[in-house]
Amino acid sequence: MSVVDEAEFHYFHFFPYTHLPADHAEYDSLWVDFPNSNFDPPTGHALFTRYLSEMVLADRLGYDGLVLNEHHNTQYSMNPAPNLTAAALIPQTKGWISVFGTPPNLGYPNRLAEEYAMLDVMSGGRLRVAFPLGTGMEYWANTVNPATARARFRESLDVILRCWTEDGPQGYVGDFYTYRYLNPWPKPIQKPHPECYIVGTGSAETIELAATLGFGYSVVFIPTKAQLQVFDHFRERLAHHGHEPTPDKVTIGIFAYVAETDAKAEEEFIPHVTYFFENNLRTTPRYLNPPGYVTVPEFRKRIQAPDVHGTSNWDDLVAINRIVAGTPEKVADAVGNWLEEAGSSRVNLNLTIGDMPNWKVVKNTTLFAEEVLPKLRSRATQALGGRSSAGASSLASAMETKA
Amino acid sequence: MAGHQQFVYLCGIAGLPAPSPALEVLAGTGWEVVVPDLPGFDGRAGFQPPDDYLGWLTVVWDALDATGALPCPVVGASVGGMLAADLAALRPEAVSALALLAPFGIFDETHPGLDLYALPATERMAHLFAKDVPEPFVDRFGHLGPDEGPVARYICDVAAASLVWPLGDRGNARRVHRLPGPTLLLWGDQDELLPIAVSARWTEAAGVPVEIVAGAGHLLEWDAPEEVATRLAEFLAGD
Repeated sequence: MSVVDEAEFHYFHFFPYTHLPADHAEYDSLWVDFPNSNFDPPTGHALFTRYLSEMVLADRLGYDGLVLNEHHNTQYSMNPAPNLTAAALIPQTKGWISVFGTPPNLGYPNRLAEEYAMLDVMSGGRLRVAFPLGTGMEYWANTVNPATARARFRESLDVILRCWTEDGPQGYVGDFYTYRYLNPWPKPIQKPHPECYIVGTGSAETIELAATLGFGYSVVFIPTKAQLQVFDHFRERLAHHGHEPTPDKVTIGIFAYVAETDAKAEEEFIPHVTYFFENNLRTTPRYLNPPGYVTVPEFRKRIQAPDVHGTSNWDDLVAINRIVAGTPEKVADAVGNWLEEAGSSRVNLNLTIGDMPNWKVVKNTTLFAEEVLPKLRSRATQALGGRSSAGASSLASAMETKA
Repeated sequence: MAGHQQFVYLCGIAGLPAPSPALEVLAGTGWEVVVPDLPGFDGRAGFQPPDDYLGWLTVVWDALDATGALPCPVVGASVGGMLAADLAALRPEAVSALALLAPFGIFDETHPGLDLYALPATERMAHLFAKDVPEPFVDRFGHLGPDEGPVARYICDVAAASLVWPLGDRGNARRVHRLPGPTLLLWGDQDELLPIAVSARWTEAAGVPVEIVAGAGHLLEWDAPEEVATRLAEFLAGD
């Protein structure tokens, strides 16, 4: 059995604000201090309406779930509070809702435990959660000292898991958070709690934390080749801590566009990929790495690493990332190969990116669902030496388990 | 002055890659300058930033007490000035006189100054001085080599930044009325990080007049060593 046979395909949306002013090229960063006077609320309303409809379309087309993320002070994402967006999607959808996610250390972890429990209860147990440390940029937008971000992150996860897995009221004494009565209502439907991931960029500390907790791991902003090394290391650490390294423990991200021909797909896709890397991701190393955000070992790695935010050349991007544009056959082949290569059964699909217009999003989302997913579902199984393929559970089986 | 004379010096935001020439002048007149080992500012591996400002005060006070110099005059520059002001306000018996050189600790939103850490690391030092960057700051920790030097610089910057993140305001305005003894407040009129106008907030809160050092930037004891040494010597002589 191949990991592809059990793969889940989740539809990721950045909710970007794409109506940039004519002079935006004069800003070396479109994060942190790019003036919010450039945000036009009526335009934002139209974009929210459109983006929500695209998510609902994806759910109706049969994607396994929808994925939201959180960023602050940026046109990259209009979702600084993705739980609100998730709540708006719940009554309109049937699949998983993944919030990938709120940095738990930027606020009060009991509050986040409450919000996620609300979403899980409201959705009837359809919530999945990923905990990111957040990009360096988030620390310029919030009050948390980046030098204590990691310690605060670990403690906030501990608070959240206590909220979900232990009956209250209970006391909690930490270095950053102290509670006399930790007793949040509601608690999640899913037991012991919704499936959890940690999102990172491959730092050893974050991998170790995810492995210790038995969470899944998702890596972003580093080249595919480096991701594969990270996943191998993560699986080794999972096993070390007594957790089975099943394929659902690893989520990969893929940018894909489907069209009638390879040439047409590239013609329709590349401008928006370019926009994404040149504009949505445009920031500076100093905002990526506020002092103390990375540990000393990670700092040593980063001063020798390439700037992943620095290229927008299509050939370079395709060479180092999971990006594909082409016919359904070409896209299905690439996606299947990437899943097997990564030993992953979870995909976050970026089928809408940058300033892609709605008609292309609808076309791509529909073609992928109708032409690519069936090919992947029926792909001939291939043995993957020694890798277990137990893992991904459907919503129905999850609900049965909970019942 | 008779007998053993000493004062404690708490360094500024870029650490202390070499003895300040102003302090060297004072040392040449018989003063012993006691420089405590502030965690992280030496760039040594193993530094973990304290969880909060109270944690910082604790490790700084431990370092100060380890010198055995207190009680005595205390001179603090930049972030060291903020720490010195809190030492004097909260442990008045430990500080016989206090000299503050462009201290952090009070943020004035009408004069926000330069956000040092929003600059590329390679450009930061130039904004700490009104004159040329002094040689010890051109390649801080460079003696450790091309691999370890940048790491030590990072550790030093993390220590300093964790003290002043995000604005360098630790609520000192609410405590400086407790400053017990004689206090000297020096400020460079070319300070980019803490514009000279910020000194008025200190004067207002602490009741201490500011003495302006013309042509000096944030680390004024490096830009104007003779003048700063002279004013410190006069002040300390009156202690």
